[in-house]
Amino acid sequence: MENENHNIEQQIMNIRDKTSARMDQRILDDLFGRLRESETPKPAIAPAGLWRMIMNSRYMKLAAAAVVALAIMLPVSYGAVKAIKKYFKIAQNSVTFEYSEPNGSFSYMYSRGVSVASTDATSEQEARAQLEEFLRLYQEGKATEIEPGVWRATLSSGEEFAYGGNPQNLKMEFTEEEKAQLKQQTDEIKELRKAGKGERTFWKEIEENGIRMRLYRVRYMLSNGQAVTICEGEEAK
Amino acid sequence: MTNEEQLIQDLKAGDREAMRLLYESHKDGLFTLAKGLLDDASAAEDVVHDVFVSFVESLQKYHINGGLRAYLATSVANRARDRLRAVKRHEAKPACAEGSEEFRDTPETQAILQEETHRLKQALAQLPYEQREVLLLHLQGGLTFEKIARLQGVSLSTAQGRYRYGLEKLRSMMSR
Repeated sequence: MENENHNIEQQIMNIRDKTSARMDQRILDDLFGRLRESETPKPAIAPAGLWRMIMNSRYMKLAAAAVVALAIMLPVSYGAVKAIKKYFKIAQNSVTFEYSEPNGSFSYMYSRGVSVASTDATSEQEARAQLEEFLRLYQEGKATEIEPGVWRATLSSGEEFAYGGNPQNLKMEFTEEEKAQLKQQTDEIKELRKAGKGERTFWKEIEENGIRMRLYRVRYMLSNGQAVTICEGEEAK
Repeated sequence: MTNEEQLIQDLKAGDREAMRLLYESHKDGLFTLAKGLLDDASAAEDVVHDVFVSFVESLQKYHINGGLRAYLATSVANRARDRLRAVKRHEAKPACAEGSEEFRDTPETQAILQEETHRLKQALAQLPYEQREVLLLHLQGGLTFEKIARLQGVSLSTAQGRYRYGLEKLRSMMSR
């Protein structure tokens, strides 16, 4: 029986499915394109997890709600934390720029935030303390990447704290310098948008307060070579 | 510096040849793993695509920790599971979806579809997902049982047990 099992193990190890030339071409083309993008210098103000929303001003309230919801979806603590009881939103910050255009006024909102999924925190204050302790442990090199993009550290309470995303990007407040750079970037995006120079793809539909919105991802190439993808929303017909 | 560390460094510097080398070295292994987990060639293709893209996007924060092969195999397993969950929600997949005509017609695939391997694949597809995952991640992805246990959120002995039961079931199915 042991021999038979060994044979099966060998057979499984020997299975080799080959990718097709078409698949190779498709993936390599995509990877080379992305490699070029990652070579371009990125301003310090555009970390992963920073969401940009552009919405008609009529939906300012909705935009704010949506941004918060989106921010929660990003750097959320991961499934390695068992029996999650509560989520706490920590330090949601946003900065908004408004522009008047002939067909209405538009708001560009940049939002940053994180949520903590906790097994034992009973308040936002406790969740914030856990997050801060995790970040300290991460900076001290005491967190380990348990899965691609998922970091874990053991808190002093003994709880395992997991964080999905890049903890280095977890800066809570927008500085004045960041705001100035974002304004400059937004001025350029606004012009590109006006000129229709963006690759727009449908993302998903959401509903808030009885209003259905269709969200799109639009990719703009800035003059400094950086590619910026923003989320754009419009009322669903 | 190991070859792998050098490769990562070159990738971080935007070296296209390093990217090609990375892809060529891992594509078949990851595709085999994804196809074994999903039993669907088109879905496996998408998963492999996503895994490489996601790796490139997170390249700057990647640190060697347990080897690139294991890292990529883990990514495939995570995405395969997400995909299966989504499929379960939206549609019932046929048990032996084989994928596109183009895939089926390649000479390599014809060779793969030799009787014994084909039977083994069919038998694998009939195993409970957790058992299939342990077998494939260990034998195809090169992951240790400790890593697989962590990935599945179970104890080491459970992961090893799933491996043993999986092998036993395969043996029984193959001997029919």
